[in-house]
Amino acid sequence: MKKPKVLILRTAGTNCERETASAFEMVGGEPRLVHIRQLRAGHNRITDFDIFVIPGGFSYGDDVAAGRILANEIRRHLPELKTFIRSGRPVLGVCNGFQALVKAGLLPNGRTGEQIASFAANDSNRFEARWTRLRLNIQSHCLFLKDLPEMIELPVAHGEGKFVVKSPKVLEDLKRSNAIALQYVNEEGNLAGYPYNPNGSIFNIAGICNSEGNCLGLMPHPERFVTRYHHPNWTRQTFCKEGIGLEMVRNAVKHVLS
Amino acid sequence: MTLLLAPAALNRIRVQESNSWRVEVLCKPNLLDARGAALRAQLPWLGVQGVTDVRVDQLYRLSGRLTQHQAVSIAQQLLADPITQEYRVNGHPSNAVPSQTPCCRIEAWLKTGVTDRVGESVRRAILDMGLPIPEEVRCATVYRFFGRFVQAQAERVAAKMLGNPLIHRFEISLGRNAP
Amino acid sequence: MSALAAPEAAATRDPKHPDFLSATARQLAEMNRSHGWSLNVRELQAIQSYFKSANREPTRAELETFAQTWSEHCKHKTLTGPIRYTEGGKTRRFSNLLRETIMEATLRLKKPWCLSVFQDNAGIVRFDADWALAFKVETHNHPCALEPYGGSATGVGGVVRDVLGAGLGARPILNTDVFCLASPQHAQELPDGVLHPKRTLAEVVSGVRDYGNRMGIPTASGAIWFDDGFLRNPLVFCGTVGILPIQAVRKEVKPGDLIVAAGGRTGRDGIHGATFSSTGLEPSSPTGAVQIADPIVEKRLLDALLTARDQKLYRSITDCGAGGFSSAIGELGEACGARVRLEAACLKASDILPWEIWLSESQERMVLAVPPKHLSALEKIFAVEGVEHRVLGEFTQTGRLQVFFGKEALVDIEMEMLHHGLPKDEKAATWTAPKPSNGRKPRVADDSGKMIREAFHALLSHLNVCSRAWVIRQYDHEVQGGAVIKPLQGAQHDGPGDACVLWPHAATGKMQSFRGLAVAQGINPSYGRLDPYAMALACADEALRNLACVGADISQAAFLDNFCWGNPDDPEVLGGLVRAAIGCRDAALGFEVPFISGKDSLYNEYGHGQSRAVSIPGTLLISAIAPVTDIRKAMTMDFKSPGNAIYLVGKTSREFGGTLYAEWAGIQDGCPPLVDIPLSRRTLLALNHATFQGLIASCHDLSDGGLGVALAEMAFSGEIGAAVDLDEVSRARDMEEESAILFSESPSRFLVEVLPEKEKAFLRAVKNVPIARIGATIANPILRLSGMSGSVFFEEPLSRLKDSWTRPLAAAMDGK
Repeated sequence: MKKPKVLILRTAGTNCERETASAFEMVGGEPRLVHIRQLRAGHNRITDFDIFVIPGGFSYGDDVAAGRILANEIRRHLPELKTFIRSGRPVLGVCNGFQALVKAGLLPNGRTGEQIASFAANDSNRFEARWTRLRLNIQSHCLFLKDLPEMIELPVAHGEGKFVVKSPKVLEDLKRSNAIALQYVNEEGNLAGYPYNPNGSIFNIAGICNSEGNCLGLMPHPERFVTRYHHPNWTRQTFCKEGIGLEMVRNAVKHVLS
Repeated sequence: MTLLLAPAALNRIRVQESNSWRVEVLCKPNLLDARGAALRAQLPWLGVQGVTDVRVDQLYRLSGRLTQHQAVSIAQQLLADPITQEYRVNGHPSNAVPSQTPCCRIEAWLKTGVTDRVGESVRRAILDMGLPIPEEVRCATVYRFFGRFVQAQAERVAAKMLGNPLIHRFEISLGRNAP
Repeated sequence: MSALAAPEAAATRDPKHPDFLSATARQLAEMNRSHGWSLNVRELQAIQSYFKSANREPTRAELETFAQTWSEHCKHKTLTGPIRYTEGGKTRRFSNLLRETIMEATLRLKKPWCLSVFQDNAGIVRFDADWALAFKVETHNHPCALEPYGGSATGVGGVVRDVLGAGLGARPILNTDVFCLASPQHAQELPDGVLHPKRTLAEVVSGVRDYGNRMGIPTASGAIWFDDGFLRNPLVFCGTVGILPIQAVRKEVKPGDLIVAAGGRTGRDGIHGATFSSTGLEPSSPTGAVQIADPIVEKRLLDALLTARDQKLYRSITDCGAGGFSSAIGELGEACGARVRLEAACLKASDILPWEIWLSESQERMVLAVPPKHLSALEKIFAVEGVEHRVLGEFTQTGRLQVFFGKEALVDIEMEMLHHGLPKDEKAATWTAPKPSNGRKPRVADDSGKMIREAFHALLSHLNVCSRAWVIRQYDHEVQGGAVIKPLQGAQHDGPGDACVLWPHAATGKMQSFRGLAVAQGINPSYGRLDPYAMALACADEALRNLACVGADISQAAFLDNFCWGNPDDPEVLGGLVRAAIGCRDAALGFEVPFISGKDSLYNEYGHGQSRAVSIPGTLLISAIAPVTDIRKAMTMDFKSPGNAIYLVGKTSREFGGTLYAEWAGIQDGCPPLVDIPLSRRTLLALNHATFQGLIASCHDLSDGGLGVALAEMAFSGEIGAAVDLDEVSRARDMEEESAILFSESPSRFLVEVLPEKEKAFLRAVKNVPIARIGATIANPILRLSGMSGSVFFEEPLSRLKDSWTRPLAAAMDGK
């Protein structure tokens, strides 16, 4: 069987690319780390790939604002990404990748290209590295979340992860269209404040998916939970076999193969 | 030889100055300013009691041959976030000015000769937008304090909390002079 | 020497030192002072006579090159120089302290897995059949005292470059951070030019965070020690572990290779950083040492260099640290020679003088030796990654260091003189043992439950014990997806782990191999105040204990040393350092754990050269690294389930010198705990044995605050209670009070939780070490202790114990 080709985008300051590649490799993908300069110079073409990933990191040092400079670069020099998303192929933005997709106007809704949401500094005013509990939107069409349990755990690590929207109407639209794919919750599965919501995101939003279900952006890091040994409590528990993050990337690979 | 400049020379200087753009990027007033809130919480520790609110914003000085239109594009597309921030380019539009007047405003700049890392990043990003690259971009953090604040406190807060006099230069304006 | 060529035109020697050759000793001393060189007169006279026999005046650049290369910071001339050491009327001479203590131990141990020790930018040990680990820990104390944010960030940047310049370059997989600071609650007046420790802590954490997080290196291991002796001179240790293919360990420079500088641009920032860090800190210390770090420039460099390394495009590499190009090129070309054209350097601004380009310590720069045929391939990689670079010249076979700026000759000296011409000065060192302990009992009036409760809460909330979550959560400790045992552990992910365990699959690509590594530290300046020798043993013991707790293989552990001391010209100060070095040697030989790298930082004093100079307490940090054969068998320190046995491994004695309990109870004197190395080694290996067989549910070592603190931490981290009978503790005969048993800091001890069905096998595995079953875990979330009378004298809810432990640091930092 042909392995789905996964483009993992790199630029100065990307830093989660290798573990992201590892995760895709584990589920039968063929990951390739491609620098944005190589795409811009035409050495590689987006359309040759089946899955597109913008991994976490600090693109351009998060200078000005997290993901801003990369978002501008994507808008101006990578118009093919919009077409790629429209074609229905899986696109994943993790952490800094999520920030870039939103600021490039590709999420929550890439049709107009307008930026309708953004990120602000965490309410705690600190970088927060911690594991979070997340509730999936079971009505979401998101291909990455298919057949996943409703409650999952993933780690976050960011300083500018507070999801904000342009207007109350945008939030209503997001709710109505089931674009809110993941929310930070407490042990009981309810929306709760800090530290459950590590950044103060509106409506505890942790991840957003487009209405077609093929483009997911999220602050938590799926690639950091691909085996049970990544879980902070694996020495206490025996039930979990592999990481939930692996299921997410496996869904993308399966989607391509189906 | 006299050191006084002829009027023509003064004009020349003014023309050159218009090649320097001050872009101020402000957090929208309805949003929590996490940095400001954290700073305010620390103020009593320095013996400053009367401050009710602190807002922290960014200021960029772009030097180089840029038209007003270009400067505004840079502010709009690069420096300010359309959702969370507002901007002023050389003071315009003035409606981006917060409704309340701060009692004190402190700008913290990196001293001349100290590498401005973010400024360099902004320069490159401007070039990548297809615009002429500015000769220099310097960034400052602007602190606006609301409530009561006196000069001595401002100097103390600047040196103890907002930066390090070894590498930072502070511009402090109090009362009405603090937009 | 007669072959020394005169640099071309006299007029080009700018600025000239026409008087250097004829200068008197006093004039030399004055020159030294005004240029900020920190050389002594004998050293200056050696340089003088070198140029006398060459029959010419030196250039400024030449003098600066000598000053840098011969600085304490670059040359470590105290530790590698001759010392006359006196202790108890006996005198011992060292011709090279480091070689005759620490390095000698490494040589005698002859571990085949030590691939490169004490020669490269980092120590290198074997990891598995294909990969090796490079580990280096640096200090950045003086810059952090002046500008803590920039100082710690450039500290991280510097040590990352050390690892990137180890062998042909290692991929950084872990950063470590250790801080020694005064209490953030310090309320007295501050000396001139001294920053408040709270600010210093907040900013050094931010600096480590911003550099490490941006570069994508997990900061998952470290320590913080609070002691007001560090008020004027905080200590900041930054470490990096990197991983590299075994075949990339060896490097060489061949004549004809191009000198390629890559990364950041050269500017006037950081002129004289090396000489500055070799002298003391004064209120008027120069600001030239303050630099701005740019982690993304270094990240670009890292990405580009590792790609180039794998394509074998360069033959050798080193970082530009102290001394900038002069040290980097001087080191690379030491065995052959180098010819440098500085006008080719990539500059930040044009107002820099040629000699300043040569000496500048601008950040994020590396120097490579590149065979000419590979240059264009290398340039292609640099272009994609956006790395600036310049060809600065070539390595030669002249044995000379020749530097030009255009036609102007800046430097023309023999490598031999530069690297081996330093005159050796014997320094005096003395050590006077403090009066032996009078063996007085702790001053606590009684061992009532009330008093014990008070002590418990005081020790758990002590700044040197309490939770470090405020710091740790700001570091991205899971980037690279390898932190399988995290710094914060337990049911709520907030308990104090002993060490982190990394599984470097993202770097090696070996997802099927479960081999990992663990890193830990040992530090205790309080013991050092009483006896630096005991401190050295205690630090080694603590670092190994921490490794053993998570299941790392002690028989393959390696040490790194970092000595931070005051002014070594003071015999008493140097005496302490010598004693610590002897302690390191004895620890290495006794534990059979070699030192693979180290670094010293001297002159950590405020008011250097004045009669009232204040030195820091002599501080030794021992960092340890060891493989974890199978990460699936690694362990955490939290109690796992009720109904399990709790064993105390090791012997408890009345050892209170320098302990937290002594501080709390007001006990002034006493010997610090002294490690019985053979017993300790036996204990560590026995524990290893039990761990590898999967017989242990949780394990935590007893360190600051002793049994009481360790027990409370295991219980509240696991949210599992414990009932313990102190009378069961295997202990010295004279120990009858509960407080002594609970809070003694006897080394080499562990608390181990064992499932009932595994007790038999466990006891078989840990033969020949003192061991006692002191109690059991219980479902009720309380800590219950019974004492000598046989009855319960202490009972406290875990939530209250945890509360005392959780809050202090966050409260001190956030005011909450």
